[in-house]
Amino acid sequence: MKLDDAKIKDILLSQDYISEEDAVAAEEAVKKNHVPLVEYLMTEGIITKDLLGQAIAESFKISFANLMAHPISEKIVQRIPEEIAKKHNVVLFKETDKQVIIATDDPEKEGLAAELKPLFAGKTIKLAFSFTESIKSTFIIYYAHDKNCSRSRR
Amino acid sequence: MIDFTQSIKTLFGMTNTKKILVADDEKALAKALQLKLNHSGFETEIAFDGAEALELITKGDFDLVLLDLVMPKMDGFQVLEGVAKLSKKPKIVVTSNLGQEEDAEKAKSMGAVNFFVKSDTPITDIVAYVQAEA
Repeated sequence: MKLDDAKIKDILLSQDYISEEDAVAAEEAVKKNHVPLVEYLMTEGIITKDLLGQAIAESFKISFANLMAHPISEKIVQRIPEEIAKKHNVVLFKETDKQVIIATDDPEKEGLAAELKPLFAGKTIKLAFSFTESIKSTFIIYYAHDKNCSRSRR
Repeated sequence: MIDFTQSIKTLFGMTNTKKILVADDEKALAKALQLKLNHSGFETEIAFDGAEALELITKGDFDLVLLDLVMPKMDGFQVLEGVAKLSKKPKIVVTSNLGQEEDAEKAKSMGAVNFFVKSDTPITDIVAYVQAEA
């Protein structure tokens, strides 16, 4: 899922994470300095990565899974086979007796719930938003193939 | 249709708008909380350090304060100490990155009515709590 500057600005404004004045100032600075909107907002301290994640998640009416702030156990992550996890860019974030929370960078992706459902029979699947780079970092930490690749690159 | 009751209340300053102070040195978070609370019908002010927070609480007439613990000039515990000496005390809800059980217990023993660990709590949950409790 690709979110461009205009879409991010809309989300931050409509969910009340930045003010109209900050949005206008940011837009002018982005045009003038040719920097991405998010980079400008973060450099100026107008938004944080965590708040941006919360805003995007809120726009999808789901929660934000901050994979960087809440490390998950290897056992939990590997409940989703590597192939499926990488195909859909998903990470199992939390599991209880009745439900699982799955972090995805594209909550509207077609076929996602259907493919994950057999892995968690009898449990409710809830989606949470997470950033693509956070999901990919989790893959590197927890899946064997990525672990080996990162070792051989050293 | 015109709501005459509301118009009369507004005319005579009798609106029931609750006043919230957001005391947090994380500017992006404080401003986002302010925007969301304003949108929900609250009147809000922001303090970016503890000394400013205590000054505003002493002068102002806040119904509820969202209080960070780690702040410049004066930390949240010192603010709680100061508030304890006031005759009229707002409800204090701590929002902190300190996640230890003893921090929450200490804050509650000093008068805080609730304690949220910021990294575990979406700001929508904090706003919903304020809507229910203020």
